[in-house]
Amino acid sequence: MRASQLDRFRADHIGFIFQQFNLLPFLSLLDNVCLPCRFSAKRRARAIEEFGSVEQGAEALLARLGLAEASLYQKDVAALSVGQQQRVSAARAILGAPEIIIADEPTSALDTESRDQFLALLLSQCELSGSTLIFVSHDSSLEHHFSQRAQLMPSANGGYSL
Amino acid sequence: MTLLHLAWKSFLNRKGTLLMMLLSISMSVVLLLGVDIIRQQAKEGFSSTVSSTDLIVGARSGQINLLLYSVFHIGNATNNIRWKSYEAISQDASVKWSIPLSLGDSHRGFRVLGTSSAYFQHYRYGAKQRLSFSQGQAFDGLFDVVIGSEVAKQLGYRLGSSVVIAHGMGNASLMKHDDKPFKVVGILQATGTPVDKTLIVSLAAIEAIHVDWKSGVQLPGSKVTPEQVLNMDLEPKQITAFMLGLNSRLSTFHLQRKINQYRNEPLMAILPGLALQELWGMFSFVEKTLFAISALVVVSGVLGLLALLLSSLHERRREMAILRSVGARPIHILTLLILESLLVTVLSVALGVGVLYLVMLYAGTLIQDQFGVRLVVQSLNLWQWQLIAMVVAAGALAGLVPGYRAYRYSLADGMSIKL
Repeated sequence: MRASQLDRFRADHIGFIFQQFNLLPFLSLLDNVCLPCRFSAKRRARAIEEFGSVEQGAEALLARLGLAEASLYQKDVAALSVGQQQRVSAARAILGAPEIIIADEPTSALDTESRDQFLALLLSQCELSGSTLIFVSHDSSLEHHFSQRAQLMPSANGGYSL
Repeated sequence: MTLLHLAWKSFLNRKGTLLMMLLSISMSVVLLLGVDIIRQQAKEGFSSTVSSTDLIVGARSGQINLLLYSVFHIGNATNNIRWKSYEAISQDASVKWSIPLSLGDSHRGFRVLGTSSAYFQHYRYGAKQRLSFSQGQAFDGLFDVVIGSEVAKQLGYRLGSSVVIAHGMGNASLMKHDDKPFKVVGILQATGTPVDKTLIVSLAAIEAIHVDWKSGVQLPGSKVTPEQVLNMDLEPKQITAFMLGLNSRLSTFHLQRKINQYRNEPLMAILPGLALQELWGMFSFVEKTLFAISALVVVSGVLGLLALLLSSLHERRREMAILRSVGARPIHILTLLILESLLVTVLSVALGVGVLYLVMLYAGTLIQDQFGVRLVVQSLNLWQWQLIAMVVAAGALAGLVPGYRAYRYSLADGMSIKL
């Protein structure tokens, strides 16, 4: 695929959750969640099919992830706690039901209790939207949550391989 | 939430620095449009100084010289012309009206014009407007004077004020016609022309105050009192220039040639419109210089914006990478930066035009008092809209450079965030 086709494919089929959340600080909570659906027509269409509109979808997902207070939605994300921010970024990845969700150490900034809570929420939402979750972590104690496990080994060229 | 919305939010996030930029560009827009508006209105005011006059006749010199002293009251005539010549030419069949002009005296720096009542009847300025009085009426008696609005305002004269005319020009003229004071009988409405700075008396009055003078000095021992002068023959022997209105414009060139070939005296007739154009042409380099300077200020403003956007780009790589991770393509990033730059310039232009109109509304009178340029608040003309379009286009172009850089960054960085 060409670079632009890759871009399109990624926008349509993959949602990301990062270790550092990567929310845009100048957008409201709701705007951040809706962002991927602005760039991908497919995810927008799926969100509308599932929830009626992108905004309603965002609100529904946030509510499911435990951010039900509507007063929060128009706030800047900077006003949220770490745990709340990570849930917002999860909602952003899930909205529009991409086939694959890649989570890159999303729990490393969370304490044990909120880690387990977050993971449970994330897994249940992925199941609801039918997305495959690829979860990257150093924490082997989370292993029992997942159906498959792949271990990366340092390779000769300086990267990692299976 | 479109890209524009995103650009707006991002703009608000960095409003501190961008607002300064916005102010700087809007000031350059004020300058650019302001210079053009003043240029345009000065030109209009200039060419409307005299209208409806077909020919101006004076002693033979240059046409600009004649125009300057007869209409703008700047400089002096090289020579006077004989009253008899005036009488002969003004009785030509093609002449509809004539206004004799006699200049040379002054009052506290303002010119004194000797003329006939035809001046108030036939003199036209602007869009063929005639002179009108804010108070009083035209002169009737020998020592009556009508003053322009500026004269009244600056010297605080009212109807009935006493005026002593000085011989020659200059504020500190030692020789004054103080034996024959004048009385203000009329004050003219403001016209925005040199008439505002003129005192107008009858030709006979000019003759009367010089009756006991010879070669620029008062003859000692031969004082003529104002009472005596009333009974004297006050027909002028010479005047400075005169204006002619013709029955038909078609005869203008014919009469002009006739006057230029007048046998008894070297005379010259000019078409005021043409002479005004030639005079304005002499100022065109000032006009062009001002325009070039203001255009350069705009360019420097836009370059400033470019520098600001470029320097902020590095710290925004994270923002770009996040956008890329949620599905924005590099073309979106490029569009975003151009939109942002457009946003700043469009807002700057709006602010600049707003400020400009506020200045014109509230400082218009101040500008007229200080510089004699009357600013009329009017809508922007086509050229000014084109100038605005050029500024906005320059802003968009300025966004292209950081936009392209961001495009390259986002291709190279992908979603990885380098802090």
